[in-house]
Amino acid sequence: MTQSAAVTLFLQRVFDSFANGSAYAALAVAISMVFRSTGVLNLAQGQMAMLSAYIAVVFAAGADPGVAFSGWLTPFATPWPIWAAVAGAVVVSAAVGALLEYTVIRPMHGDPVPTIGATLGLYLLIGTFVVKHFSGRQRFLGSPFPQEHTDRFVIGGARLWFDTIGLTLTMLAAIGLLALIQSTTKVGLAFRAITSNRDSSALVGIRVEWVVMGGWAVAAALGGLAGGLIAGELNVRPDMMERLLIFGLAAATLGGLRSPALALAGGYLLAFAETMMAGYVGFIDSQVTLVWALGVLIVVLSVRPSGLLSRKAAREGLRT
Amino acid sequence: MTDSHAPPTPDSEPPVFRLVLREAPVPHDSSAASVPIPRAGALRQSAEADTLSATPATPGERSASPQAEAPGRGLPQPGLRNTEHENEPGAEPASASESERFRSPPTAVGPSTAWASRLTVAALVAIAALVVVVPLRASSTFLTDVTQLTAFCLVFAGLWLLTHRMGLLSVGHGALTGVGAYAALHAVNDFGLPPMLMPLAGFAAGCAVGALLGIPALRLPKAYLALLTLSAAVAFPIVLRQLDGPLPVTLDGEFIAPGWTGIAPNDEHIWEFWVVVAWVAVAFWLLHGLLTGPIGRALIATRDEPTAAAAFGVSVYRLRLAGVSLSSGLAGLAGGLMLVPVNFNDQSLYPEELSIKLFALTIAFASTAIGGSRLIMTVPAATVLVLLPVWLVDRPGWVTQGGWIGFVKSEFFLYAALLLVAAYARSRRARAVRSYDA
Repeated sequence: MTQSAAVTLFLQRVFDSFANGSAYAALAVAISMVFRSTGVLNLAQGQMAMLSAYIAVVFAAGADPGVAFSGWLTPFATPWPIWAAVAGAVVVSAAVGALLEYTVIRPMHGDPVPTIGATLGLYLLIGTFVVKHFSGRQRFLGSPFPQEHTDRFVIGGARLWFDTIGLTLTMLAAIGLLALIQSTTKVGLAFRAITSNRDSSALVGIRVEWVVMGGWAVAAALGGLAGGLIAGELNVRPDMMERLLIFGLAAATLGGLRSPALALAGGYLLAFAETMMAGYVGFIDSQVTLVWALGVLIVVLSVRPSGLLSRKAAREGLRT
Repeated sequence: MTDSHAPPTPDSEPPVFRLVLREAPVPHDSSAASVPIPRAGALRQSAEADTLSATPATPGERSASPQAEAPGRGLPQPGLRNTEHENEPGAEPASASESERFRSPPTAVGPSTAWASRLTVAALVAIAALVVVVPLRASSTFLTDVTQLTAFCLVFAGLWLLTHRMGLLSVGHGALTGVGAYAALHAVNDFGLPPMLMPLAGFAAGCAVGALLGIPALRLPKAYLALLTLSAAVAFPIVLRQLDGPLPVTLDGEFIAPGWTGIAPNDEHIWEFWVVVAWVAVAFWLLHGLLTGPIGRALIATRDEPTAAAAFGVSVYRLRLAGVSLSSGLAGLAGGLMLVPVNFNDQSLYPEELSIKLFALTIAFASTAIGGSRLIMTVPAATVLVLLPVWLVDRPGWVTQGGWIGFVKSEFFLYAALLLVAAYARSRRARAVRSYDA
């Protein structure tokens, strides 16, 4: 292999890791948002994103008798364009997230054992729901971005697809928007306040329950966006999110489960490392990279339990 | 089991304790000065923990309390049940009995009342009878299920140890069982271990993987162990597929009943059942011995009062690590035993849903309200786990039905409902305790 070909291949692998990295990052940010505000580790976040992909399939199918629930869309019998289907799925996901927080998580009052039990119950419930209604078959949902074989940039011989760019930019924009809302608006201030001290926030008049519910809704919407967009890359299957959940958890751990910014970086970092290992280390293929993610989890937790957070931030965060 | 193990209720608590607490804040004479006066909470704990080393009352206090002369300090004194005492303004409020009932930890000896103990003996006798009778009567398919059920009792014992005795969570015991099965199978196929001993390889592998997960997670909040074990549970089938390939791997070994058993050549499943029962019985006996001894009490201490346990010289982290490792080892041992009736290992046998089901049943059956402080509760849990799918398959259409009806009738829905209800009940109980403490 000539040197330029090696560079091309390397660039290609970097570009390939963007799509996965965006999905990992979105899940990781969603997980750390919920954990940070409520101390709940939502193990069902991946399944909620999977549900969102199916909802997008329903919208995109129009009133297709072969797809469950699409009959509800009979007045709008035409299939929705994919971008609208994904947007619809994000809205429904947010509603589902808020509903689950209200009905399932809130009654647990933050006790760790029951809450983890409840999120696992949701994990099973969503999986079963999808299998029973969509008979567990693979579905296909296109990408909202142009996917023709000419829709690409060629940089140094490597192809960067518009699809990948669109997915990455959309996820980054969504996460950036969230950060902006958190840092500039009143609602964001309330969210940061309950993250810092829940009881005091209640004392100064913040409606903690509403903000927590909103946090769940936003996290579910973010996960749903990831699910809907990554569905253009993967097929929509009941187990499509399993790998993503592990990588998402590992990425969130890199951020100490508390820092969305580091979780975002962790997502891209893990995807990059995953692609590179599968590409350059002979005995590792793309399936075994999952073990690598687990290894990252174990090593990071052993060596730096606070992830990439500074020790001071970790002291403040992890003691709660 | 005698009454000395009975959980203390306010009226069984020797009145001398209260007098010490209320009326003698500081002992003046030197003989008493060397004896620390425990806090109310500490006293209550020690009374519960069967090792009643109560503070001896000083002579002055004794004179204030004629009841204190009663022998058998620390034991319930029926003659001294003094209602006046209960209703004194200074006495603990009546709600304390509620509080204690909630708080009373399932200690090394458990909140064992005589009937519960008799029930356990009766259950053991019944199980022994079943072990002899069932194989001779049941069909080979059903007996294979029962053999797996027996092995799953060990997985539940491991989970029970973790959840109930140590207050930790594992969502990965299905995967750990699979690890045990993988190790046992390859110990026989590749290293020539006699099949009869292969569960030991499973035990070792389970311990090792459990320690690997425990080392990082136990230094951190509880959620991290759940995070790591769930990741392991999801990763395991994918990894096993990579290691063993997509096809099942068969065990190079058979279980042929020796001649003295009188089991016919076609009835190996009976012999397999008894082999598994023997392994499980020995493991339970050892585990029970371990947990009723000092180590068991130390484990409970690390759950309830880690700081106090550390002050008494218990290395909390190391003990927890040993407990997690043992718990995983039991799952691995069970994984080795799974190969006895089934003879092959396959990625589809240990999906992450199995781990979640195990967790759900542990939460549901480990509730003290139904006697879950006892190891024997692993038997009904394992029974549900193994026989529920069998029962569902016998219902026409339940498994194959789709839509809402099929959703509600599906096994995972039942488990999810169980998990949510058990979690809700548990959080209510926890809140009740907190509101008493506050």
